[in-house]
Amino acid sequence: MTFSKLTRGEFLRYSRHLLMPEIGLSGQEKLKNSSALIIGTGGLGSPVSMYLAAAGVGQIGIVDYDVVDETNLQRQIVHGQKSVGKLKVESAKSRLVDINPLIDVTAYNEPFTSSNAMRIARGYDIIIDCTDNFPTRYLSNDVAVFLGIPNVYGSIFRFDGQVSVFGLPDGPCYRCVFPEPPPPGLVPSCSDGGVLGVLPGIVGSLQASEAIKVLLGIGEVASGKLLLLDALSFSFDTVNLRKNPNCKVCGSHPQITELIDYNQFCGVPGLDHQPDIERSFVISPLDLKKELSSITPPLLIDVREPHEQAISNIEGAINIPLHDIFVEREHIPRDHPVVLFCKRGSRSAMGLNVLIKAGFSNVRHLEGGINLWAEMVDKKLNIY
Amino acid sequence: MVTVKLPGLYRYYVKNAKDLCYNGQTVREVLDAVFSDYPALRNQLFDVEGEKKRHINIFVNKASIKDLEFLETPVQPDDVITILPNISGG
Repeated sequence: MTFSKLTRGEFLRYSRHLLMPEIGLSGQEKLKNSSALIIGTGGLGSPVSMYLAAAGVGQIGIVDYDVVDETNLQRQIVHGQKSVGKLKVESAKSRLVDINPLIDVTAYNEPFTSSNAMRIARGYDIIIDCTDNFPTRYLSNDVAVFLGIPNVYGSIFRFDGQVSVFGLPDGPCYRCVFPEPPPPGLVPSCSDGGVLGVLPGIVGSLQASEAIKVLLGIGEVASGKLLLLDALSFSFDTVNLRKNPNCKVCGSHPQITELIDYNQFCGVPGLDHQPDIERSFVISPLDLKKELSSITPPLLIDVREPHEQAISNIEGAINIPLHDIFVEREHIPRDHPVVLFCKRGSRSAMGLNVLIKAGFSNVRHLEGGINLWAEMVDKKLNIY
Repeated sequence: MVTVKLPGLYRYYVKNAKDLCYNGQTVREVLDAVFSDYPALRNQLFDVEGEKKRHINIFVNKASIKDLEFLETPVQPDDVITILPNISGG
């Protein structure tokens, strides 16, 4: 590829970078001739893609398979109200091109999987991990290691954020730090546990800053260290990380030398990350409605957090949050039908598995949670 | 006393306390002292054999216990033990 110099218009656009001795003309030309692949155009992908576009990274790839919905808009600032229902990558691309029409944006409207990841990522200078699930995080890491490119990591939950740069020479990779994912269900996702809307803005901006430094080869990047931030207490701590010589992917004798089945590795069945549940343990909202008006209505157990009951509720349900379900199992009747529910079915599925393992047989969970119940049965209820 | 810093993910299990201060000669002793007050936290961090779960990292000040003496790493009264879980939100 030929090296492109700045055009006259770009001198004006990037004036504030050109004034900085650490960037200057040669640095800005480096950015123009750089490429970054952003996996995910959600909370983290929004600020990362917008800042890298504004900064003049010449080639930006964005990967996502989802469509914009209302619940995204509290934090996913690359999307707006007009984009609800549209493909995320198309929504994001139009915003990025508006921010900076002088760069190239390639939209990959597909899930990032073992079968397409190398094709998509090959040729990019850097990967920015803005995903929201463990399988894609391990996949992004392994792709970066196999291609020999850095992987700028950011992760968020509620008020907590983590930032690091993986995959630089002599630095650790994600697997050096987290060799295994948590058991399925042990660490909730943001869609179940929530996240402060501004948090991905903070973490994603730090990722964008690290990515620019890596592309320019300036400063001290967060390789071999990880920033832990707690926005609730305004606490910023850094811990040191080391490359694991026995790492299965980047160690001296790697055992994983090609992409694997990451859903299987992380114990999740597919893209919706729902535990695999036999149909006989699932009840639809319409069937639950019928059973609730029968002579022996099932006992309804709401496994959401207590504060979620103020948003929506099903009359007669008792509240046992998921993390208490094992401890409270002795108080749940075994001789009476029980139906668990949560917001959208993932936590109740986990609770169901806990009870089945504890010997319960007459227990089911509500498909789609109280949100689907609100859509199909009680339309007055709030959906969140 | 040694300070134990827990991320928000586990704050429920310690009744929303953020930094916990406990005595102990080693990381394991300090964490056992925390678990004695907050037993539900043990299952989140440790497996049934009493070892750290693999997706959890523990640091003494800035160093991982993997680079020290694991749970038997000695600690001093002003040390800070930081718990780093693997989170996936994005």
